Amino acid sequence: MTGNEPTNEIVLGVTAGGGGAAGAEMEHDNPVAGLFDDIEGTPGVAKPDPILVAKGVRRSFGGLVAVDVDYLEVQRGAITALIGPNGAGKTTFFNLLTGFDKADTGHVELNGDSIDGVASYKLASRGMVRTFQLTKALSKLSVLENMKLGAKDQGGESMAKALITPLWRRRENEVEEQARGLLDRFNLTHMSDEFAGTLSGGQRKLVEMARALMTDPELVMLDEPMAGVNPALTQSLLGHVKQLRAEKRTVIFVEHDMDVVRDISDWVVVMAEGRIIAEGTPESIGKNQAVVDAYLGSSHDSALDFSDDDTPSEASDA
Amino acid sequence: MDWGQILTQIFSQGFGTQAVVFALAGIGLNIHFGYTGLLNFGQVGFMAAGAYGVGMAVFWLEWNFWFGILLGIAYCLGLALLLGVPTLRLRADYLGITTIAASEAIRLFVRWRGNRERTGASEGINDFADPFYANNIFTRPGSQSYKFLFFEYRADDLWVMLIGWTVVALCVLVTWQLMRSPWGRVLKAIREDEDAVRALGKNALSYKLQALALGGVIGGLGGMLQVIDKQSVQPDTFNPVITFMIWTVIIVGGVGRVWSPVIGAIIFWALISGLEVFLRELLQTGAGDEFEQFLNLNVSNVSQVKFMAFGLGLMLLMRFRPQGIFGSREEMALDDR
Ligand SMILES: Nc1ncnc2c1ncn2[C@@H]1O[C@H](COP(=O)(O)OP(=O)(O)OP(=O)(O)O)[C@@H](O)[C@H]1O
Ligand SMILES: [Mg+2]
Repeated sequence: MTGNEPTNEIVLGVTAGGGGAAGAEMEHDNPVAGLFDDIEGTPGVAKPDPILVAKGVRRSFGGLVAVDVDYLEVQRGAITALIGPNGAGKTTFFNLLTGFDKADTGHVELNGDSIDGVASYKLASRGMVRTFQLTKALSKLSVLENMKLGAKDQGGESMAKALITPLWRRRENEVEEQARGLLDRFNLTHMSDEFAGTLSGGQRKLVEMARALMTDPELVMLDEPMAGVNPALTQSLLGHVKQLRAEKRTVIFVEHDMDVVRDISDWVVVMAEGRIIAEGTPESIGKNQAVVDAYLGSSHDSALDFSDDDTPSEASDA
Repeated sequence: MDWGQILTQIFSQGFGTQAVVFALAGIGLNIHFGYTGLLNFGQVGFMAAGAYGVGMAVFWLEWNFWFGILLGIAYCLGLALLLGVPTLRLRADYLGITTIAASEAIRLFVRWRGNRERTGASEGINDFADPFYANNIFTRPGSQSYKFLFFEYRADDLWVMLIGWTVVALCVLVTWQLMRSPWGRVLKAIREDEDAVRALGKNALSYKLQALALGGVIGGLGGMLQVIDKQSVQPDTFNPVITFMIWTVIIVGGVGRVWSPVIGAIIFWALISGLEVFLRELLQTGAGDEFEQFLNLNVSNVSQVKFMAFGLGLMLLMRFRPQGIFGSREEMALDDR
């Protein structure tokens, strides 16, 4: 997509309506551009305005220490990538942050308030939402119903009110409008009435992300959102993630593809064997010896070239 | 062969009091399994809770019969909490194991001699439902039996059926309304993936408890009608086989469909009763001698053979229409993706 035919691109994107790369190349404001320039890339470094802080979070399974994070701050409004080899503990760390697993020790703060021991379902109302590495499309609900489920403040979700349609009809209509708007943005309108179980893997990733946005989150945590998604769709997903940042939301995402990481993230956190071994801007992280060692073994001594065959392996279904 | 007699059995039993009881228990189980994905293998326990609520209120507490219905509902709610709170946090199979054990525990507990004054132990509770029949609009002097076309009922049966089918209709209506509401959407989502629901900010545990309680109370209403119909609460009517018959009912109808427990119950009782009379007729006329010899059929094992035949039918249904009568194959196929 060169700048020669910009109108063509947009028209194509809007009319095709079929999972194309609409909007992927549109310019997205980066409200945090330049913010990280002066921050030193050391593990545990302080950020100007952290939305999420993890202190001494540790989780072991039997003898295996899956997560052992001394200190991490996540900058508000930025896109932070969490990378690391398979089994590094990224998903486990996500689970600990989102209340899906309980840390042996440690504290997590969201917006300055402790969320230790807070049930996972309560975090959505505090502005935190996550997606899963293994996509969780609700197969026997239509795509539209999947979306509607995400909305907050639905009176009709109480059993007593549910009995009387007029008590929830208005909110339901609002929710439907919001859902259709998002489906449109994700080019899924044509799939609205299909069962989510009929979607392809990549489309499910889209639905899961769109559904998470129905909660109007402040902090979006995506576990390998691009895994198994074709390049064109990846471009479109990247556009959506950048769009989140333009809307002043915070994004943390796990990713194995270094091109993607370099393309969209403002800050990169590297995990290996449960620990955070490096932090830094995407540019600096590829030159970091500790990262190179973690990915390729310590015998390797050249800078990590992410774009060729040394690209860290694709996502597994761990 | 007396086809009139066979048809009379099919129609009378298909819409009779037993079908009402199974329809209600099935509506409850359908809320559990069909909509929420809860594996309840102890629905008969909820039926017993409802039944003993009414019975014990009259027999032990000497309450008015109608307040007994409230006690039955309270028992069902209590049972739902007792089963749900410890197990619903765990994986789905834990509820399954617990429910089957609990329903047997209930049966053994109420028939225990020490409970003689409260539950009547193994003798049960009899003739407790007179106030129910006092209002019977079908009672008339002289003949107590009604006949039209292939239907034949006693006046008392008709009264139970009138009340029973009305309750069934109400429960179907409530289920239909709830399942098209956002509340029902959360239940269905929990059936598909509980973690996704929690990530979106819904308290999955609370919804599962609500579903367990609602389906349990509806099953309890079935249990109440069962014992009102018989004017007798007997511990051994509430054995685990009943639970599996109710599973059969919702599978025949198609899980997760509003009407399936009702149609399933009608078909179940029509076929079971029809088969019984058919086999008895067959024995009497001697028309199927070879068949009889093959199955070693005789008057004493007709009721076993009817279930064998029904089981065969069920297997054929699973082979050729696994989604049941109302289910959608397209939807079922999504499980394999
Ligand atoms: N429930 C569990 N029980 C036992 N071990 C576990 C459990 N969950 C994770 N682990 C272990 O913890 C380690 C970290 O796993 P985790 O899934 O967090 O890795 P990951 O960084 O997300 O890897 P991937 O990139 O492959 O998704 C692995 O060694 C894994 O085997
Ligand atoms: Mg992972």
